[in-house]
Amino acid sequence: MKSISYNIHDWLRIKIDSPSWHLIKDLNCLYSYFETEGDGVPDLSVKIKNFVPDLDGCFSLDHKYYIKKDFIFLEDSDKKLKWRVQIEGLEGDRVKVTYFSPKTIYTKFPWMFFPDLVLHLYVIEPLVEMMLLRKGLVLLHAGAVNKDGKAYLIAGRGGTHKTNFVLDLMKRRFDYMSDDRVILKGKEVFSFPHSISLFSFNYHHLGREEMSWLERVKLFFFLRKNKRLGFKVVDYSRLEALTLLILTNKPSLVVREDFDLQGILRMLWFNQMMERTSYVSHKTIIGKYLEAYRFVFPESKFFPNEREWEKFLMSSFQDIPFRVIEVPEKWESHFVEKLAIG
Amino acid sequence: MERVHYYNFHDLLKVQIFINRPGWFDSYLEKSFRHYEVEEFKNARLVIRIGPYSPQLRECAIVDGKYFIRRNYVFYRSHYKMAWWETEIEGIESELTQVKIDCNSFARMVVPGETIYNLIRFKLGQKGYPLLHGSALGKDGMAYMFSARGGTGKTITTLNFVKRGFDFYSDDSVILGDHEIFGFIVPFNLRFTYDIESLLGIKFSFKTRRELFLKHLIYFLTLGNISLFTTLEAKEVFPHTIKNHAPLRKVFILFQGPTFKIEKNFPLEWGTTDLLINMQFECPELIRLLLAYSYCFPRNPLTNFWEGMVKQITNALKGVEMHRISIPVFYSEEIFNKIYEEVFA
Repeated sequence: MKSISYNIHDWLRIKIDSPSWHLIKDLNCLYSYFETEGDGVPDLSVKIKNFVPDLDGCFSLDHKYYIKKDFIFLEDSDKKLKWRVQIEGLEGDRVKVTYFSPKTIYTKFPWMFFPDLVLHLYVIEPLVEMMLLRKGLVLLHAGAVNKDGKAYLIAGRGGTHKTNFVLDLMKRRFDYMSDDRVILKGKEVFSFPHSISLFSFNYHHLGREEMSWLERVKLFFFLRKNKRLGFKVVDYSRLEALTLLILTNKPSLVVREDFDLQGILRMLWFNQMMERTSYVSHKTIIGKYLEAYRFVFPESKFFPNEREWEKFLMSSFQDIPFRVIEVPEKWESHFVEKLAIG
Repeated sequence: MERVHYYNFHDLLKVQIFINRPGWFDSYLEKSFRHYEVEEFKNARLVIRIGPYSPQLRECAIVDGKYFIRRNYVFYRSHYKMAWWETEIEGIESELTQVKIDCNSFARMVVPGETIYNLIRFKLGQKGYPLLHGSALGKDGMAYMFSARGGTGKTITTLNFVKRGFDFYSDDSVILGDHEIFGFIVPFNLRFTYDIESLLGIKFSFKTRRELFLKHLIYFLTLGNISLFTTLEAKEVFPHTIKNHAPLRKVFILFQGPTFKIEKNFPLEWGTTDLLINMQFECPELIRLLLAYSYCFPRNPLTNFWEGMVKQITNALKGVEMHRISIPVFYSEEIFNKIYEEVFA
């Protein structure tokens, strides 16, 4: 049994106990940037092991979600991968997760490379977002760079060249904060890099986001070697400006003028919701188990809603300059000049 | 050869469907909404064309590599196992919405049930009539609604009520109006283990009997590993008791729990949350579609679609009695009797 502890800016401690054998550790430990010595009681403790759920007194939905106060158990599957997970203490400050997927996962492509990825994406991340929100911190789906103590945020759906923008800005002497997620607390920005070694491969070997098949093979060996980062990561900065990206099939870049602050906040919300309700398959949606919990306990206020979320963000983005740009599918480096920077 | 079907849902929504595919496509579609098929009309609010087409993807925003969006226009691809289908929606914000769907043959079972159902749900919602997931039954001209997730015992409750002389409005979905409901009759999806013939004292047609016999045989030969669903026409099951529309007297939310328990006078706000979640679980495709569109146009009226739904449900159910009942896994006659008592309580 190995255990890994993460400390996210002293706000959230996560501990993962895992017997798993990882072919590539970096693909299975998304938060490796936050890895620390395991001390103190974790807020979120995760155990990967076989278990028998305690379903006594449970309500059930769709013969899939088993729910009682502070407790969720579910069995799910995606592309031949089956897993079951139990969450205890959902509404409290100490959340306990137990997760199990059969050993046969090591024989299945592509799951053998990231046997614990499902746990991270479907379970841990929604819980981390929820636990941070309860403390008034927003885990926002956006990249960020820093210069002179000022943070420039770049938000948008996956595939809108967020990472490319960050890479290009780093060439222009901006410092890396994150390329996919940041934590916002009022006007303060905290980095939340996940899969940072993957980004480091992009930085050192490609200088861009897109990857060919050959480069994927190279990535495999790169991640096996576990190299040091080779660039600076800034943890904390003050919010200075925000750029929102929309990918289009138009031939050139367009700056949209028809947005107001309210529109921006809503756009960020829909971006977040799309991330939260990402399709896994036709029937499975990430984070759906939290909705199932709300069905049984509609009175519980464990997950802040859109109004409260907007209130948090309003305090962040009030008086902050923003810009919405439509980016063509094909990446060109002069796009960077159109960002809300300087 | 192009064929046309006209469907009129209680004069609330008129749908026209053109099919430009080989004949086998019809059977699934016809089965789904046959109850509402009419001769012909003009001014349909939703026009659906099924068949090959080339989408107009110029100047579109691309969301998640799947949705192509511009003002009043969405195109998206979906797939599920072997089935794929591509949907183009023109006039998503307008009164008249025109949809084109192209799909492979595996998708013929999915498309009516998912995409077309979702579009009807969307158009009804736009007009202020939420399409809720639940069944509705009636007595003396008053309707009682039962909302539940699949597998809770909704269908068996329905059948038992009809056996005791209740009118039948709907088994799967209910259109909610202002303190009233409209039926939304689609074929029954039954696990064949229910013996409906003896339960209701009716006789099925030869075709249905043959189908049921074959499914029993498969169940028997595979030692119970394959249990197929049977699709039955509501008209065949209840030839005399189908009604269209009635004022709503009580709402029951059923869900599976450890013991039988009634939470009387369930607060409207919580009940609305339950009804909304139950509906949303039925239409992930629609949720994602509206999110993608809202992301590109965050100040358009559609972004408030689900909020509007909550308001409509709240207004429609103000003053209507609401109870929540938890039902154990093993549904028995005794449990039905308790629900029956509650209806008249």
